[in-house]
Amino acid sequence: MVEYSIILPTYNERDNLPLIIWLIVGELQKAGIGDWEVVVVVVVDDSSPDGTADVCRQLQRIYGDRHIRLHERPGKLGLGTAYRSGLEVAKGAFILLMDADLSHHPKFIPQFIAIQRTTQADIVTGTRYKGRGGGVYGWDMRRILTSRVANYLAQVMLSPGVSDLTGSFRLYRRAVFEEVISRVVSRGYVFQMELITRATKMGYTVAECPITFVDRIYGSSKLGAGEVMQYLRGLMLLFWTL
Amino acid sequence: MALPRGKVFVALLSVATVVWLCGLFVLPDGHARFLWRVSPLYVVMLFGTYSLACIGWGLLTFSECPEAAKELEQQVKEACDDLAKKGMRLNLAHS
Repeated sequence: MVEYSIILPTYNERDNLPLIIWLIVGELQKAGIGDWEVVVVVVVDDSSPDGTADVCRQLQRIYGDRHIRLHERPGKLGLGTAYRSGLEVAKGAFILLMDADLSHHPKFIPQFIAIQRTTQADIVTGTRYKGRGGGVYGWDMRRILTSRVANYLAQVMLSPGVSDLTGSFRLYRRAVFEEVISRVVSRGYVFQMELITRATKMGYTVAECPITFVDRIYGSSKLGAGEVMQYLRGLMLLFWTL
Repeated sequence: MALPRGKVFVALLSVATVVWLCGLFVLPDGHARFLWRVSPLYVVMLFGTYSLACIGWGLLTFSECPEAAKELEQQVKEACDDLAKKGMRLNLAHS
């Protein structure tokens, strides 16, 4: 039996968490994965003031705590460390990362797993920018242009051989994820970019899976000047060191 | 592990600059020297054109997925109904 662990970092996701769990359970059942594989969702919650952890406990009562684990952290400690502490709880041979805000659809999880099995890749990464069946919903022209320019700069400066660098919907072999994440220094948008670039430079193989990305309609996923500067600084650092 | 791209880039740029400067000293006055002098400008323009073409291609091939948003909206409704049956009440902030 191969165990797949899905790490879901949450912060104020009390409305989205039940929906994403419901979708994960439904999609995995549809794909028949429950029969031959164990999937454990590890929710890493940073003491969300909206009570996300209580919602998670309620979900554990509904779906059983064998498949849903809750890891509570004392405060808002950030995404990078959320994956690291999720890794301590997650026991899977494969680690799947996704966002809990419904921008990533769990229907792609069986596709990730199938691609990994046929290609034997170390990493399967979701791409919004290449292949059939992928794409983005909810971005205006400015946001699209920003993302195209940002992606082009990264392609020129890092040539990672991956079409979507900042995406955070990925499946990793556990050992590979542990190895790579221990070296990552960046945060924010650059974190995912550094992770995948480092992995390819270290010689790990990456396969891509087209995904749809429905940007959150509520809540903030704005791309301000601060984020752009942080991205450019991070990119320069990787250009120089990776 | 291979050398970082940035360091390779700076090294190549330094070599190219030295070669270019040498050419300026060696070449006699005339048409060839003029072309040599402005050649970096051509390189920059070529790279700029390439960049614009790449970004333009990226914009052209950018795909949107309104059907994915619709599907999600539908599933969110189903999820709410089903979870309500299982004893969980949700605020439907999404639809």
